[in-house]
Amino acid sequence: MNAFSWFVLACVAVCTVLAVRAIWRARRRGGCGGCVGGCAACPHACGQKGQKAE
Amino acid sequence: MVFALAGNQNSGKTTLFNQLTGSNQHVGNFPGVTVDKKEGIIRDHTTGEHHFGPRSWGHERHKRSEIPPRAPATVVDLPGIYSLSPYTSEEIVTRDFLIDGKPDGIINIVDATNIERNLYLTLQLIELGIPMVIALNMMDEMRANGNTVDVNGLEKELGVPVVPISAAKNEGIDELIEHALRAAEHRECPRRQDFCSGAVHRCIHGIAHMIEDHAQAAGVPPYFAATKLVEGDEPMQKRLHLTDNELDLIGHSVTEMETELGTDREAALADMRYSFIEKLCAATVVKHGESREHTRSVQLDKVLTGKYTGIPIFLLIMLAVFWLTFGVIGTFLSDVLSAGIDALTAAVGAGLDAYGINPVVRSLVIDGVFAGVGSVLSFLPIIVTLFFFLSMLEDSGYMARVAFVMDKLLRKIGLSGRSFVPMLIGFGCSVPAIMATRTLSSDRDRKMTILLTPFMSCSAKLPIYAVFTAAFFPQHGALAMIVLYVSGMAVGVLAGLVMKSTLYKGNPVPFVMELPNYRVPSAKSVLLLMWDKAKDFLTRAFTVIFVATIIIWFLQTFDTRLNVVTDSSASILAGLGHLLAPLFAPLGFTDWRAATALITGFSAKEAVVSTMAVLTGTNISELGMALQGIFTPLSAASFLAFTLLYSPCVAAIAAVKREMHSGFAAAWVALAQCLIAWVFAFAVFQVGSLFV
Repeated sequence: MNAFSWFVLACVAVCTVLAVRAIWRARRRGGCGGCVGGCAACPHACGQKGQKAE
Repeated sequence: MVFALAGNQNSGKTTLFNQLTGSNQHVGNFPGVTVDKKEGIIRDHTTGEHHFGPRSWGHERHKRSEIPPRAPATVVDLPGIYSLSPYTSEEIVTRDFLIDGKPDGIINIVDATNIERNLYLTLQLIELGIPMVIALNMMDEMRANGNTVDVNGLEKELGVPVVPISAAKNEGIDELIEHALRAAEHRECPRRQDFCSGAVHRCIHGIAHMIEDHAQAAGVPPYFAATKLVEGDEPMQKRLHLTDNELDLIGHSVTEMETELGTDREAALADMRYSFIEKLCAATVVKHGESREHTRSVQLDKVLTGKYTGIPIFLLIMLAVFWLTFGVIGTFLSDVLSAGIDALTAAVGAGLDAYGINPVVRSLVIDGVFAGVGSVLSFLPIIVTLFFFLSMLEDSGYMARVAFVMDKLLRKIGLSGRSFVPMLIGFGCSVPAIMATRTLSSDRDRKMTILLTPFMSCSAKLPIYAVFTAAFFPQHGALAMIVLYVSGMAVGVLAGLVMKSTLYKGNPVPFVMELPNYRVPSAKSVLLLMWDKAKDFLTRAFTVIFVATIIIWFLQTFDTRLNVVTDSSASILAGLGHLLAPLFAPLGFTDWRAATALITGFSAKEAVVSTMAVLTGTNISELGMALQGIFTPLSAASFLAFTLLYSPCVAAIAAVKREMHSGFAAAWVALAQCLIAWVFAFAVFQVGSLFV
């Protein structure tokens, strides 16, 4: 495997870590979890979304 | 410094909250948009100022440059309520915050066009003895209709500052902030707290003296506590820890009052407050008949909520929305975006090849990330288009009418029209829909609505429907969508009937809902909602779907010894899929990839599409062709029926657990829906087999 392949693989790994962190953080702050603190209709009534206004 | 923003439903609280804080909370022409409290910092408000005239609340208005800097003040947007009696969860949230949260001040927003009804809450807020300012909203509308309010007279009678504003037009907000800060800093409590006379006056004052010590110990103003006790407020009785003897004396006083007035305790207090409001409005409000908006709304309602026209018009409107979304605008935009994503994928693939990338890493990027995330992303225009039309309907005031029209139908399954609001939100996402059931006053109605909401097809399932209908029913896309949505509702109705006759016997509470005036949808509100949809959809695509895609790619690229497989049917995922596939054989889809996609759908429904794209090794424009090799039109219909009804995603199940306070209920929802979905899909496939 050449250096470029390792570089691309590292980029994908970093993106995966960031995505997992975003999901994890959303769950910790009491967001909707799977929908990462705001899903398609959350602006209607999601109390968790309201906390973002702070 | 903390301010509570309190007022009736649909009086413009969230609009004012956005103006005060500079945030973009969703605002709807629809009662009950806010179901929980939201906080924000009051920003330095210097733009768009317009004054309705000179004010005279104890001081001359300062110029901005003369105002000394102040510590940041927080404003809490509370749910809309009509009184401080704890009948619904929203009223409890508001009351608890006002009594226990100890805000430094209250900003009471009053809709000037409905001033009599709005002042009912104002009188109760005044009894709390907290510094308060009244924001007299929608004054622009009052003026446009030639009506006026004697603001100085109003504040003299009520004993609190009154500031005329228009939250929608950002007028009078600076002055409101000034008065609110001043009232809180100088602890300017309402000067008058007694609005009663005669028997009610004697009763309240007698009880107030008797319970003074208890009220002070409980941190509640004695007069407010006495009023609530006269109303028969049980939570207040418990809070005050009254002795049996005291409760007997209170009961005696109340019975005496009821006998003297010839009415019951709640009606006596309501009469007392409305008598005061009537006199107050006669002296301070000049109305030249009904507003143009109201007259126009009444005329439109004769048709849109008519006995024979209401439901057919609603169905026609929804048909038009679906046709425009799936047949014309949304599909066209989606095709354009798909072509763009395909071109980008090809370009990236060529770029990677040019640098001699390892084939497995190339597969991860192109067959994994680009195929999976790209297949979901291409449905962004469909979601945004659908919610463009729905937000137009909501902002115009029509959706509140639909709840009214649906009341009669919902009563047949043991629910009231109020339950329609969460169910409607459920077409967007089950999570906020389940939370929106907090607006229901009856526990029975609330639990039934929570259990029925997942039957409303959420927008995350749209990509699945769009892919399958384009592949198998291209000539009848809009019709197929309507059939799916109506089928979900029909099964929900059946489930409601079963619940009504078993778990939740009884009658729904009467349905009372404010119908706002029709208005031209606000471009800002509609655009904000579209932006929110787009942002949330993109967030999901690049977090949950991205991670799910990587996991699926890994499981379908390697075998159990972590060797790269040449054929994905030898992969780890295939092994897992083969275990589950027999469960779905009676439904007509035996391919292990279908079973696997359904399992990943538990994380998020869009993942069904991204999983299919990864497992078939195709991009979105080729996915339809690939699916035709896995499904027949009949088994595709069965698959759609299953995805329509099977267990909601993990986030929705967690919401059920949270709102029902029961892990058992959440597990029951997941299992029961899978079972119902299996039976429904089985029926679709077996009955369809008789004709095909």
